[in-house]
Amino acid sequence: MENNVVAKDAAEQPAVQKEFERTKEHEFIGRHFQQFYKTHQVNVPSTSMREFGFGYEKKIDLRHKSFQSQKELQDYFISKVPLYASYSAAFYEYPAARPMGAKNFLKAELIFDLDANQTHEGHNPVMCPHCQETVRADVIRLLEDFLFPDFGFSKEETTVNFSGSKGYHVHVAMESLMQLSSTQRDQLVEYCAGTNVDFNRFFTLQKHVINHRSIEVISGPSKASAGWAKRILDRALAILALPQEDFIARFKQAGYTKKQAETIFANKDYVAQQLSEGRWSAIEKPDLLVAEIAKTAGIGRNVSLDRAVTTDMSRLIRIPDTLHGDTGLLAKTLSLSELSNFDPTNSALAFDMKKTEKVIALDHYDFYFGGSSHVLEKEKLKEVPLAVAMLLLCKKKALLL
Amino acid sequence: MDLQQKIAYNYFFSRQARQHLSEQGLGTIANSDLEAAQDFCLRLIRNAQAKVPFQPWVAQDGDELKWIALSRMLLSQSANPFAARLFGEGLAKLCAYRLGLEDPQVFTAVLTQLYPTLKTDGDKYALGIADYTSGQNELVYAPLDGGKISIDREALVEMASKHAASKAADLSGIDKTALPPLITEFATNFTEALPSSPALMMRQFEGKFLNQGCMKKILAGVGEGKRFYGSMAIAIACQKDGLSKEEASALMRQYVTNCQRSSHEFRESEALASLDWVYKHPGINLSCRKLLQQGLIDKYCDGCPQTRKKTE
Repeated sequence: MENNVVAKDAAEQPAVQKEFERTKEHEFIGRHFQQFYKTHQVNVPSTSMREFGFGYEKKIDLRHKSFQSQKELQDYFISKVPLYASYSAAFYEYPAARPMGAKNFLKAELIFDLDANQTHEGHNPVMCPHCQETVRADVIRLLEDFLFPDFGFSKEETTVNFSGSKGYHVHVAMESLMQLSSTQRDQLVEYCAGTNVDFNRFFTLQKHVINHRSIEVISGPSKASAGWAKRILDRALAILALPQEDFIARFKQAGYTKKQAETIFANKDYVAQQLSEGRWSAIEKPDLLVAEIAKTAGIGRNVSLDRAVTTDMSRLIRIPDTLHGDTGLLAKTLSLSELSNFDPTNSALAFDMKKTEKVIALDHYDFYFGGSSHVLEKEKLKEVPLAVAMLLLCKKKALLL
Repeated sequence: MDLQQKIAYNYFFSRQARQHLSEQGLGTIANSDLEAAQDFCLRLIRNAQAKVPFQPWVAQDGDELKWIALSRMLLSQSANPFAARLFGEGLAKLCAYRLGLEDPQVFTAVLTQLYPTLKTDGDKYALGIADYTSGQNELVYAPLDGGKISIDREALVEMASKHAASKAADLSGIDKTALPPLITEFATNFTEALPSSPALMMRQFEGKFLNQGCMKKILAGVGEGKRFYGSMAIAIACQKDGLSKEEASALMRQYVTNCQRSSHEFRESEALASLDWVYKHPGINLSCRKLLQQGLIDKYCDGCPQTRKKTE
């Protein structure tokens, strides 16, 4: 490795890097990571105002580092070859100062971090398309249902990047949001997650007595509503617009009897029109429908929306367009159009799929990567594309010959 | 009185008020000024506590600005966050009354200073997310669309008055050591004239912790930066004294009310979360040393069994 270390506290480089060089797999990974950084520029806006952290065994083995320029940072990547590289969303006057208070916080970008839950059946431990797809779908929903329409975030100042492993990060660099407090940021996450929403607050119940009979009138979200109230109505209308079979199934899932569901289906146009006017008495047991909507309307029901990343401004987040030490994949910055059909196993490859390398798998693996399926038998030698070898080596699921 | 003067005299948080004070200064402070400030402060505190509508007024000159400044200095000497909060609330009521009288032009001119994202369209108002969430509002229930939250004039006045209350009650920016001796001397009698915390705080508890001076001091309310640790201390004391969770919750709610409200909200849920945690971890002990380190107390309590045990 080159020794032109420029980073300020290179002398403080921890022992972990020695460990990193210990095995031939580590050496192999390091050599390829270094080669990557020699040919790929890492661009970090406002480099000198951010705190950096790097990892070799853990995501962050050392932090409180700062760089005066892009070049200094790039030199660090080439000379120290971190497996994980993170920076602060926060901007500081003295980013390397310790403790945190001495850094003198100036402002912070707003970050949303979505990750896979990995709790589903048939999860693939090497590369799980279901996890990848679920998170990607929720990132799109986060952007299209919450950040752009409700929060009014500027598309020009909102960027998305694949984490390099299973998740995605959304960075919002709007100046008007940079001074939001941790509590305010928490409100934004809470808004998107919708986990603690008291849905009753969107409805009012009025009792009228007509001809000695007590009638309850439920008023709720209408087409004039905005925010979560509008979301409840839109979701209700979408359910009402389902084809009969799906309609009945969804209402039964919500707790309605088949007969009740069929009755509502028979009057669904009238019900939809009434709900749009805010007259929720038009539907039987509206609370069941709202509870059903509540199950899926927020972000983070199928994936993990990491609240702490958004609210804790002292956290470090993966530097976009750097390599992820668990996969060898690129934490690629994506345009919003790229996101719609982004497949990280094709589009976030940092290493060659034509060059090959022989590896011995530690178990039986069967996964899709780089446009094709790969099957490796336990403890059998197999020649695989370099990118696949890097994936398996980074995941500690294979050894070199 | 022109528009700028009107804003300056009636809205202490306005740019015009700050400018007026910086140009005029407080002048030579005489005892009569402090007496006037005390009367003003106590009047606001009474108004904050009053259940019936109080008699508000509109300021015709800059005297009130001087009284507010002096009141805050005196309150900073009194170490009575409960009274400071009431002072803020009294002032907030006054601001709310005055804002209610304003024509749309003055109303917007004042409110835009607190909420730069405020947009008006006739009698309709909208706020940006940053301003709306700064006002202790829950975003999730807001009619949020395109980064704007529609809000009516009444709700805006309520927000602004809460903001005013926070600003007035936040005494953290006052350097107590730099206050003129006259104020320090006057503050002794002033402090005696202030109301103390509600009866609940004076209750005699059966256990050995809540009756200690330190706990009574914390229960009376603490300032920003200490509120969380205060809630932990109270929660531990409640748990050690054998209060039921319901009793402890009531006490904790009162503590939140007593805490000085300043630029950052301290929610009841935050304090109750401390209580939950402590009641789930009954082995946690109260540390007088930590109370001292966190600035919750100035000295160990006399005769405290906790301290005695350690020093014997």
